[in-house]
Amino acid sequence: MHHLLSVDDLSFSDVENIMDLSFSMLEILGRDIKKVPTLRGRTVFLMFFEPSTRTRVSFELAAKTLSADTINLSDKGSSIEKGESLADTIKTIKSLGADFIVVRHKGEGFPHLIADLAKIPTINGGDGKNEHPTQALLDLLTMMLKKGVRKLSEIKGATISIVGDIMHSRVARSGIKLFSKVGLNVIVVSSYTTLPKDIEKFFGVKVKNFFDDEVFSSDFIMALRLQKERHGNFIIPSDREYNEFWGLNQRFLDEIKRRKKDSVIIMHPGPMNLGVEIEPSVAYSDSSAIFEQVRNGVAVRMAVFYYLFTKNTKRETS
Amino acid sequence: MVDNKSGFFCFEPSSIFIKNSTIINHDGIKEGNILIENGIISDIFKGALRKKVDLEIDAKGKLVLPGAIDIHFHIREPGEPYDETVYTGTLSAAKGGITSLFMMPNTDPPIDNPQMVAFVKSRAIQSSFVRLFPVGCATFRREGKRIAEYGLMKREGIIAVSDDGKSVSSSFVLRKSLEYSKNFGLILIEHPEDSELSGDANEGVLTLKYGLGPYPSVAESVCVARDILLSLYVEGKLHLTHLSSAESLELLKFAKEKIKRTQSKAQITSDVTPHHLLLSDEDFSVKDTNFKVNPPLRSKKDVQALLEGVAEGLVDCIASDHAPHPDFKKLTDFPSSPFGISQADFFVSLCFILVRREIIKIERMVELISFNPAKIFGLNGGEIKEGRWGDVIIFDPDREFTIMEGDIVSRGKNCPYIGWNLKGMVEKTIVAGKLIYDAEIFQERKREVFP
Repeated sequence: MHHLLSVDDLSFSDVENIMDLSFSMLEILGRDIKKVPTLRGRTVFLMFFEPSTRTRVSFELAAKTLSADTINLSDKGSSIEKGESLADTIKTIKSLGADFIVVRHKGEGFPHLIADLAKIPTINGGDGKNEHPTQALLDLLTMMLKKGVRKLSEIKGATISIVGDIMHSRVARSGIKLFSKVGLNVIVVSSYTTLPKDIEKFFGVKVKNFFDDEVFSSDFIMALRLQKERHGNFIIPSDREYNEFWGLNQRFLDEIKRRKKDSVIIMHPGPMNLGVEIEPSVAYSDSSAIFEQVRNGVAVRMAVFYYLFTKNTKRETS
Repeated sequence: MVDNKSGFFCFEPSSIFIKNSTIINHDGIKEGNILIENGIISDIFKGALRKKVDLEIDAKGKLVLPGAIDIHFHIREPGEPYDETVYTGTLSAAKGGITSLFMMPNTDPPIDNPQMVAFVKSRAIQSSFVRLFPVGCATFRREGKRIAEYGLMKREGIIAVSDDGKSVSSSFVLRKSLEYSKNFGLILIEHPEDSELSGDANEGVLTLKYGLGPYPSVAESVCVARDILLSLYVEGKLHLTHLSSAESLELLKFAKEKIKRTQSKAQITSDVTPHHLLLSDEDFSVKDTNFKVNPPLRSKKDVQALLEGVAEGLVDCIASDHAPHPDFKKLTDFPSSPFGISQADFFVSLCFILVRREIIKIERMVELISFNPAKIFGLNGGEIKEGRWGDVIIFDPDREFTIMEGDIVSRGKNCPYIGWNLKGMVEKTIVAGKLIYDAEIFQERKREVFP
């Protein structure tokens, strides 16, 4: 594993190792002085061509906690704005001495191209509607922590329902791939308008159009953000209709409570459209793991840096 | 009565006994007595009645048919109540033998949100004589840009979605509409028309003779082809309404065969109107604006193809597309005249012409106007059978009458059949066990009710 561009790059044992490392990283983050010298003298280039709060900051925080130096680069205020070709920008970065590249871009496959051109360990921080592998890893870590388990074998067989706009969600695609890989049962709940055609055959997930008993009794329910910026307003008639049928709203919470299923855990990758796909009463309820997801994001990204570092160093020496 | 599954109307269900009935269903004819209790057909038997009912009718020598379910009907309320209200529209339907109607949403404002559906429902509960099922818009304001709130509208009681009056012109939006309606088990009723190709009259004799703007049949069939292909692709439920051309039926045949062959989950159904079966573009001249309709009356060749489609079973339903307009709008130059024909008043009698001409049997007529509409849209009607709605009509196949403007209850007198002599008349219409229309009483009292 040279890069982390897609969940497809990860073998089962890669996932196992990254999870083990993440638990260690969580321990470091719990310390009084949050700094270890692991990546001292290494430089991480953070190339975010799309808006981001938690992903960019948590990558930066992860790198800094491991003592790496970080450089932020985006199309605004760089030579890309002046019309420099992508290839030249990458060559420049390489000459400047990057050890890692983290990249987010609206074009699907953009990070793959960077990885090819730069030949520097590259991490996909989200490419269009394709993938967001570190999000899937941090979601998995969150689920393990919530279930109080340390081994992948112990979470096998649990059920996660992913609700909402699957079609435009890189979080969903990476999630579906990763959760299936480690043996979770994945249910997607979505309108046909936001469901990739033939997804059930391709990924082997269970597809439902609305919440039902099976969804309400899942171990985890993850709401996705309605990606209005990716499809305009054409796919969902209105926020109120979306909330009525696919939103995690008070009625949804009541259904779960009625089933005395207190252990269900609510997740959301953020940022939330409150009142649309999720209501405050759910987002801030005791069942919600939404803000733990953010904290776990730093640990998982530290683990990914470290894991890629050791893998690549081994390869160079061998 | 408030019930999304049974439609909306303004009276309590009732009990009625119809003796000496010759009962016509889509699958056969039999003799018997029909007992309707609390609005539902509770028994069909031979022998004497041992119960007390609100009304007893002797149907000796008459036919008893399931009430027609007209899946394409225009009421102009809200917006243009002068053109047609719920009251006049549903009364004219009852007179024509229609016991359920689908109200198209192209009102002003259009029925494109749950509040509007609730409004229509409340009007129906105040003054509808037949079961009224609102259809919701496929897109907001019928603009074809953004799909409407199907889920919330269904909760209020819509039976289907449609932008009728025009097609969903964007192929992307059509795809999304077919997909979105699938979530809620709704059918998209498409008015197939490529508006860039359409004009005022069928391209042919009329456009040659008078220079009218051409509305060729291909303006319909290109849209039919696209609708069919997209429906097959997303396995959606599509109903093509008022098909008018031979070519459209060829495409429909292709679609139905493909669904069968590939065991697709797509569902594609269709209806034609009486006027496209009974009239052609050779039957009128440029001043006869009551013959102006969308899609336009086609060539004799097209009419022949539609009649074959109806006879062979390719076409699923006959619907009226009752589109009333007052004289002051309709009687103007041909291009300025609005599209539409008013014919609800005589609907079953007009369909019965096909039986008289031996194009179809009466059982097939019942299938086209009652049984298939009920089956496609999941209604508990369309058949005279225990447990079904007590919606029947008593029809005298031998009674002759002349269509006269003064007999039209609808506010739209834009009826191209005025002066026609028909044989076969609706004598009584019963909805939910209640006698809603009686021809004798109507003839006696029409002057006072409709001065």
